[in-house]
Amino acid sequence: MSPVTKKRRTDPENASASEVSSDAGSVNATSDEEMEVEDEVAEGSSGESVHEEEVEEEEPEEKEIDGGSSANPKKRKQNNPRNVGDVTSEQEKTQAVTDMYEYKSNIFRMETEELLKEVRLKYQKRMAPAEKVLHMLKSIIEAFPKRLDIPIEEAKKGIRRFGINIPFPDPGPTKDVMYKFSYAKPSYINIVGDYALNTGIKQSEGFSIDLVLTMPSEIFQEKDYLNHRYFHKRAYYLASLAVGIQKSKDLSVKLAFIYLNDDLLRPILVVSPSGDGSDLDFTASKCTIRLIPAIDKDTFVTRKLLPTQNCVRPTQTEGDAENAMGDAERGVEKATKLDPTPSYNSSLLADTTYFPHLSQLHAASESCTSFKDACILGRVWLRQRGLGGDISKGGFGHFEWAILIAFLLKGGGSKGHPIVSPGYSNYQMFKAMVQFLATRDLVANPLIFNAGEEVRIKDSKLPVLFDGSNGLNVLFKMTPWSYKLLKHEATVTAKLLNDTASDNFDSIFLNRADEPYSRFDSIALIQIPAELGSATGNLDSVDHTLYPQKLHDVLAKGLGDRVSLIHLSLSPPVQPRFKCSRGAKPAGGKRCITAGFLLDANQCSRAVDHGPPAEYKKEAAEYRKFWGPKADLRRFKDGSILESVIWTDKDSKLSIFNQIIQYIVSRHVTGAEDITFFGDEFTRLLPKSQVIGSQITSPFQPAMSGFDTLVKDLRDLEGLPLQVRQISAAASSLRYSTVQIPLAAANGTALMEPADVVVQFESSMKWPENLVAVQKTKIAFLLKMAELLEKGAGKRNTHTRIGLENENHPTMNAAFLDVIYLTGPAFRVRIYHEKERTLLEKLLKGGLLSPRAKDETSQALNEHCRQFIYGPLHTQDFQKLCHRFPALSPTTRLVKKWFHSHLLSPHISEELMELVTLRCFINPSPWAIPSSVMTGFLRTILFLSQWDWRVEPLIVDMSTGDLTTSDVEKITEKFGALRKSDPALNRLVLFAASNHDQEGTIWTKNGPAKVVAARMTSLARSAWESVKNGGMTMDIGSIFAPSLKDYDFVIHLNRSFTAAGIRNKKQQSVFKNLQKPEVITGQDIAKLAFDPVAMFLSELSVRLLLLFHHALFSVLFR
Amino acid sequence: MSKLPEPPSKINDYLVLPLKLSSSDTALPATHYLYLRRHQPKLPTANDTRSLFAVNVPVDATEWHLRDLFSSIGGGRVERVIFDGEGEKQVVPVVRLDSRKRKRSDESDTAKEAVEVKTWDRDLRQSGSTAVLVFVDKSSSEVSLKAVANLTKSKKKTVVFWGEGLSEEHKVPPLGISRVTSNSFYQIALVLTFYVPGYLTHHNLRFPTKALLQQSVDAFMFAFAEQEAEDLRARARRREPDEDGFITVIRGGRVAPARQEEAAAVAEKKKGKAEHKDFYRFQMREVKKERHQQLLAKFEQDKRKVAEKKGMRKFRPL
Repeated sequence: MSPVTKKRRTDPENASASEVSSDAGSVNATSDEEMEVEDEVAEGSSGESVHEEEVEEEEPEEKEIDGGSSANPKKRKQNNPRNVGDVTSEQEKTQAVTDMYEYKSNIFRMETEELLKEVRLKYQKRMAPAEKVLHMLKSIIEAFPKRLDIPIEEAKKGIRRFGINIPFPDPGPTKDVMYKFSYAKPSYINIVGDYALNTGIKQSEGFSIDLVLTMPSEIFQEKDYLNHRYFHKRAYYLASLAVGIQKSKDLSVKLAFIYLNDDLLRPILVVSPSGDGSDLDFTASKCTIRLIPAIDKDTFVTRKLLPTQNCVRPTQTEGDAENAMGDAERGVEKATKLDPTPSYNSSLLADTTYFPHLSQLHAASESCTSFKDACILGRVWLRQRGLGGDISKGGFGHFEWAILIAFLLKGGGSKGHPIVSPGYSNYQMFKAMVQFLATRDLVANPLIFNAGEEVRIKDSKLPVLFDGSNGLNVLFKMTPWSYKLLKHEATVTAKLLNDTASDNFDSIFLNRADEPYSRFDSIALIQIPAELGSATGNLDSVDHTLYPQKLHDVLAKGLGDRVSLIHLSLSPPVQPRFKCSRGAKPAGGKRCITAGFLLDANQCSRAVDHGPPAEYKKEAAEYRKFWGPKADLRRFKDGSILESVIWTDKDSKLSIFNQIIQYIVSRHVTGAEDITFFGDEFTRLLPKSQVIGSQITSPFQPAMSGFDTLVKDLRDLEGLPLQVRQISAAASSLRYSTVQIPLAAANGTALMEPADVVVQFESSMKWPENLVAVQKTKIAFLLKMAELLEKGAGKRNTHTRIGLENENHPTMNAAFLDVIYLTGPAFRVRIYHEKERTLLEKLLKGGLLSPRAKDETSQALNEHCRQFIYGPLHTQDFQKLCHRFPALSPTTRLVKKWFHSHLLSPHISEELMELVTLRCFINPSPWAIPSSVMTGFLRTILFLSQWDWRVEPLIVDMSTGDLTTSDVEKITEKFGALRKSDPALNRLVLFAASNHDQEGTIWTKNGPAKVVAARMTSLARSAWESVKNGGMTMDIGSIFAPSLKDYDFVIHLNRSFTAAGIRNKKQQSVFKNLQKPEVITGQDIAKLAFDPVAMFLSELSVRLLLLFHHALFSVLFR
Repeated sequence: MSKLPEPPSKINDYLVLPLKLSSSDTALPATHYLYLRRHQPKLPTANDTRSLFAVNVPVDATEWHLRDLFSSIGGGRVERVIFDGEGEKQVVPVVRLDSRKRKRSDESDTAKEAVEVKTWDRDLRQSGSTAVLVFVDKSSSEVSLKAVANLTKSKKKTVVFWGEGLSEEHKVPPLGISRVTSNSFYQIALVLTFYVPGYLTHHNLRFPTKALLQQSVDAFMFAFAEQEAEDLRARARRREPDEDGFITVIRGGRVAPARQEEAAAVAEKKKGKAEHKDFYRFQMREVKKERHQQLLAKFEQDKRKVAEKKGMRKFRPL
């Protein structure tokens, strides 16, 4: 029966379905239940609600009937007796699909299955040589001779004889240590990890097989957990293993030490294929074998290794040796007074937990069929976000993900109820996990199993998932910032999962989101000294969390609400040497911390930081101490007297934000003087304005206020035959998106390029019905307006003139009115007559036109819609959005500059550029909304490089939610139809729809052609590549350098004939003292908007290049 | 540039006239080919016998250019030149003034002259466009054809320069691009030099004085009103029988032909009001079935989409 098999294919996790496959009806019922659960996961904002609703799940039958499928039971009754037949199977299929869609399960589910199929590792394939090596290793290791109780010097010598370094952790054993080192056959050898669980994924770097060797407890002493003794013995054991394997003649492999998950206390041995082509060469298996020494759980007392305990006593060799000696002797009772060493303890305990965790995960995968798939999904998700189990990657990897699911299957909700139920599908489980990570704050509200509150450390900023049976905080490798990042990513993803309107599968699983340049709004590279541990003097040995911790605290305090997230990443530590060499330690050099910031765009360039009022003595003193000489006592407008810090970006190349970082880091963090910032360069590429203001849109203020004046003047006109109904702006300079700032000087020395304005009069029956006559009537209106404006010009210096356009197209708009204020602003007013559209459409529909006239008319219609209907709407919305997203305006300007500098602007309309930029703000997934020019620009470039415009429409909702799901569907349908009718993309190449223009063609009808669009994509691709590869050292300007080598010919224009050149002529006075004060003259007005280049271009394209209109041609200014 | 083969002197019934683009600049010399034959339009007109049809007219051609060309090669005199498309370019309603009216209002006559406000002082042709050359009489057109034929046949290879002989008194306005030498496409890159005055003139012409504009608008409006009134009168006349009791039949009876979609829209509107959609059981069943079908279609579509994506190997992100 086809429906059943289909059902099972799409939901293989549906265990019950397979048992009742003969009864189609019950298959549906079970799948319904499942959907319900999923639905509730979607709605439940916290773990508790999910659970509660899950309890109600007991009566699914009724629900289903309520759900609107009342015909269902009947049908089922009919079906059961004679369960074959085309009609019924067709019905069943319909029913199954209906059910699936009714509960929002859709394409996402299919995609998930597809992804799992592709990504799942097939272990049987090509694993034979690796298996053989594993067996070989086992027998080799078991054959090693015992070596017991060797003193330190002898042990070192014994290993060094074979040229192998003992990877002692820092601090290593001193020469006079009393304890002895031993090697004995491991008590167990076993495979753990994803190889044992079958949860590995295909990835470029291959996978690893974890072989755990349990060191026998007789080689340890009771007190070995103290002062790194265990780790020293472990290092010796590891080195002995290495020696043994190297010595053996049967097996030739490559060996190396690495730190397990960047944990400096726990080196492990990595066996990789030799690549010699023998039958033991397991290169084809694409894996490495990791030998991990472990200990039995009862080797040490778990209680003494709880996170609250101290296990590293102060050293006895320094100046305070005398007092310390006594402390160390007295042992544990003294330990309570010392600072706890949670990361040391956890590192040690983690060596005991390989088997317990394996069995826990195994049990979970036994009890819950979709557990493994959920693990794989989580793994892919984490990897795409650059998160991993290594400390340098955040300390939350697939293992932590899996163990967290295993715990959540048991509990974690309110009153200890489980958050995830074993009946969940992989998708539901993934969703529940993401939801949990996003909403539960594991720092303030830790998850503790099998233990009481006493295991918490006071004021700890670390997340806690405490596994009481092993005494271990599973998340011990995480840092406060990596946890915040994880939470941030989970929040973003949870939002995507709950958004049912669009298919977000790509941004959740398929797109990489770990590139720092597009992920963070601002990046700082901070050089730090290589040796950190000694500087901090802390007993807990994981030094690479302490120094960044300080840095993080300082940054967080200094930046305050300017940032929403600070993430630090320390480059991974230098791996331990395998060979022992005579030379000194490998030169540490400098290490780097890469700090990434997510900014609050409204706050990050604030000039004043307010501190506490002066009368709060203590706080004020603290504030002064933090800010040093920068802090000042100031009286503010509202009368308050506050401690404050003032910033300005006038004299510095750095933005305010980066100045603060520079200042506080060099003031408070030792050894971190050299800071490189990345992000400001992008802002600096934009032309600066002389207008200063707090708002990001303030450079455009003169033009905007000029527009307000115009509106007022036009509304005040008396004596027009019709009243003005609406005056709307329709120019990029009036929506904050021109590259050059209009009226940059704002002092009345230069005129602005006329900005398009559309005036609509109240409707009247007196307009002629003839299109040509309409145009003439418009001219008459303009003449009248001009006359009235000049008459009332006494108060203002207003100049008007009427210009003609579209001379050869009598049905198009024929004239415009230039209103020029002598203070600088200039506008180009056109009259919108709403009937024109109907007239044009009527003409087109009438079918009485010659093909040529038809072409002309449809062009006129398109032009009319663009100029009078969508242009003003677009401008209005874009203006609003520029206020909503502060980074939008500068980003758009930079994106436009990019298009201009690559000579693409004659082909690609400004509105399209704006829509493309806007898309990255409206739909920023998989990231947060960009808050800086860098992120906005780079993500736009990334989008352009990935946009497959042949099959993907660009849909941007410029309003908040005006575009419904059905609208989007309609647009997609239109797009599909368009592509079907024109598969070669001759008529329309790019498809860009918005909530206004749902046809998607208004901004792209006149271009770009296919070659231009392809060039755009390839240019974006290479720009993105160069950013990715160049990183922090690259010169951003190189992205903006045009390449001319692909053109067949290039026309270089003399600069003095360009619009800018002509306007500049008058400033060429040689003698400075002869220069007149600059004012706007009649000549300036006469030459306003005179652009010979544009005329030249239009002549070229219309007259000459008609045959070559698919040719790519552009003009370069030199 | 590789050496091009010698061009034929005749293609079908077109005569080929090579024109050297004289180069005052340092650019490479280039040749433009003009194709000529007798004018034989599908719908014959009175002037056909004394006309020649030209294809691939240079972009900067003006009437003066062609006149001088034929006089320089010893052809006949060109009376006028009708460039491509100019014949039919009459989209603007033709202003027909009643003779009676014209006498009455003199000022409308002067206004009519100002109707056309030109913004370009000289038009450009499209590349590869055509023109009809009307000669003064049939013989001069014959002579011209012969002259062209002789020119191409003669061994001497007399070189004809385009636009060279343009006499001073026939001053054509300069172009934005000084086109003394060039007009063939591949030359543009090489010889184009800016001649801004051409564009400046255009820029200035684009902004005519308000008085002039007012005049032209007034004239148009006047004519337009006249025509509307005339149409109205004609319509009125249609209804009124003359003294003999006959009604004169005049063109253009109906306002516009009724359109199908309009009728459909009206019918749709009516239908929507009258019917109940969920009254009968079968209606509900149908609606439901339809929805199921839609979902099924969507399912199939999604499946296809996923398969497509799979085909593009998108599901291998790592």
